[in-house]
Amino acid sequence: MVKMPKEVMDALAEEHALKMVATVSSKKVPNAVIIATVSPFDENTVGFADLKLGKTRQNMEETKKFTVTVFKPNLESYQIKCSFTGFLERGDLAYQMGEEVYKRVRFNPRAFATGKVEEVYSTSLGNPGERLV
Amino acid sequence: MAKIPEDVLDALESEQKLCMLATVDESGTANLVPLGSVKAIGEEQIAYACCFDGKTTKNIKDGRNRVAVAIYKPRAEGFQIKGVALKMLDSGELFEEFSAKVNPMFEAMGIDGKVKSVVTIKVTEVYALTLPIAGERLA
Repeated sequence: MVKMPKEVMDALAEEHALKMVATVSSKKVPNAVIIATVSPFDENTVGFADLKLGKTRQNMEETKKFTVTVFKPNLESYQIKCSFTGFLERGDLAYQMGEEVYKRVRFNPRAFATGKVEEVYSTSLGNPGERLV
Repeated sequence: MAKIPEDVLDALESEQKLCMLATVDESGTANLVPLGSVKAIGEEQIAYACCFDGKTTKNIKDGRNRVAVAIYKPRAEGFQIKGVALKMLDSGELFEEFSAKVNPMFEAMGIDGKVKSVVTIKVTEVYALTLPIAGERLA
């Protein structure tokens, strides 16, 4: 587990940044989806809402991994590789985040996927592939 | 092989689209990177310009050729194309076409980069990515 740099936290928290999540099936087939609700829970943790997760959910449960890439309108971009830690389905935090998600997308999340940050890379054009932590 | 639906072809043509490419590394972890240049080659293949020798290129060169491309077309369209990387071209008509478009953009941005190869992908599956039909197979 590593700490995300501030600029990466800021990028993940930015509403207008494009966020996608990739997973891999047990047969080594990648899956990539758009997930607007990806956000930093703290310096070590990333999470996102399960609004209608299909293969992403199945792959995370099988492989215990997911990768997030965030792309800001100013072309700044980061890749965050995470170990999947589970789904948050109940409790005050899930309720509070669920309300925020509903306000944004008018869908009630079934749960929130959470993961610990393991590696962070730049995927910006100036230094693509550079490991940040 | 799958035929790319018309609305997905339109999204690929859009100047506003944003795409990311997922590959798989040797440990089974997804590598997901923004894709600056991608286009349809006919109805059953897509191609993108490979401009940096990073993990994506390594994953494909090592034979892990299953890929997924997620496409976002503002403000509310999204698609996923799954496929198999076929060829990595470093010459020829397609390579010249991508180079003529992409290299001047790097130069204008002051970035040390150029098209090193063009990767062609055979499309095997296409899915919708936006609610409420996210996950629906389109082709």
